[in-house]
Amino acid sequence: MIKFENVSLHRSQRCLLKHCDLTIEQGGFYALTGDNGSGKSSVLKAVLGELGLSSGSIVRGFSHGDYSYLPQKNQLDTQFPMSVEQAVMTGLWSQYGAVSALDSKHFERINQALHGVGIAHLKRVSINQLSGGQLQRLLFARMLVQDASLLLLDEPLAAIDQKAQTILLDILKAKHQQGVTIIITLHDVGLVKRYASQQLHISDQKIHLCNADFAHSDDCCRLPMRLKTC
Amino acid sequence: MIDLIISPFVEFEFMQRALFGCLLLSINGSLIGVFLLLKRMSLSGDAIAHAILPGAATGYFFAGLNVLAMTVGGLIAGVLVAFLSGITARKTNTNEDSTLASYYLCSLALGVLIISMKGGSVDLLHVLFGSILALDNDTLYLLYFNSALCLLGFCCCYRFLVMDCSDSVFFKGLSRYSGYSHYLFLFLLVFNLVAGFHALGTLMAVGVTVLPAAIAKYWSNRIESMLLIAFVVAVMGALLGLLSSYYYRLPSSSAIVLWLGVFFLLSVLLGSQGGVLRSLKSKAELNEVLS
Repeated sequence: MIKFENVSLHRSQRCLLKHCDLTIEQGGFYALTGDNGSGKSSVLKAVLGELGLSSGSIVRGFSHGDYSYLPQKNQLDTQFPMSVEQAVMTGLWSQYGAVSALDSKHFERINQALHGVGIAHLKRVSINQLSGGQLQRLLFARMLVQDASLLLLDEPLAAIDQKAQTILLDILKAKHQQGVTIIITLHDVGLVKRYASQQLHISDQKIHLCNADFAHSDDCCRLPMRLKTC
Repeated sequence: MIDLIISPFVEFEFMQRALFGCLLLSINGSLIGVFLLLKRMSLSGDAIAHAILPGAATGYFFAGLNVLAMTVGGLIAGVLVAFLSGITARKTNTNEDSTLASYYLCSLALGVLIISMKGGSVDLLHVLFGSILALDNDTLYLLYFNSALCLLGFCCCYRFLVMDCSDSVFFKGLSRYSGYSHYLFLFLLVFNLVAGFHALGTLMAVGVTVLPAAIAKYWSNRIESMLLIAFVVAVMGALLGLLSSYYYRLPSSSAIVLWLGVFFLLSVLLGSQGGVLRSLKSKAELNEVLS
């Protein structure tokens, strides 16, 4: 569970959130929406503690290693000399750490994740040879092997085609059904309705929480019957 | 031919010592150099190599050409500049390269000033270009210790460094100790450069660290093989450099670095990973397929 208590958030002297209270329940599939620059990425970073709050506090019901974060701008150094398999392997850090050896179960999980996202045939290829879409699938595979209980994804579908979008969102849905909490920033209303259970819409320095079935144009979350506003 | 290669090292002890010192430096240099390259910090390595000068000079000021005094001084100065530049960059929201450049230039100037106050230009040349052909026991012990520390550090932190270099943001989410690997790496870098400057001087010590790694990048796209290639290249450069220095009376550290420079140019041309000729060949093959 993640709880916002009277949270205000500023970025570059611009107010993004003002006195917000919000509870994100465990096991939910939340679509975070809002206009460009409304503060979606900043909210995710604030949840992770990477961005300081102007006021209030965020109660985090998770600790280091319990979550997986896929930032909007990929930070994986694609010039780093490693294969796709090795890159996915880094997601298993919490299990093998600094010194332990990997066993066949670990490699099986890596293979499963690569099959799941459809790039198993590329596992021996260097990461600098991947296209933008293939790289995004790799990052999904790395996230999957982590077995984190909270997934935060910041516009993860920007670089990939529609078919791949469906594959990756279906994987997230399966994760959600296993009890994983998912917070994903999305722009496509259709995808929000189809996959998310709740919608967190940022506008007017507030986060509006509403049922994803009613989502989502900018106006629908302002209807008092369907939303709770922070 | 083989006799020409072997005889200087069989006949003269100073050549044996020089080769042994270079071998020890090659182990550390290849390890640190590859990660320096992967962290895109090659020029930072150069800057820190200059930054150790005032510390070494202060040691020299008080104790003359004493290995321990100059090592401790160099270590303190190098670590201080590396950390000060990092902290200044973070606190003032500027790039680390600009703060590092500013600190190292001041540091270098201070070092030259201190040496000039005590000794003449010969001593300055010793500090700047080292004395690989006159390695005494103290310096060799220091190089031993440096290699042991470096290998131990890399054994413990290899995976930390790989994770940090490949995706530091992701690693931050996985481990609360993620930041420490960078500082340990900086410490090992400074220690390696301090040990290296006794043998090759401050200006050349960074050459045997950066050049083998840069060469390895042109021949491999796997980190394990890059480490191996960098080590082999560093040893070959040292061997050829020492032999050139012996037969043609060239300054040894410059000869070693220049041989590495020759390997680098050859790699740029012939390298299997992005070398010029390889790229041209690939382009020609592609054009053939398209036509």
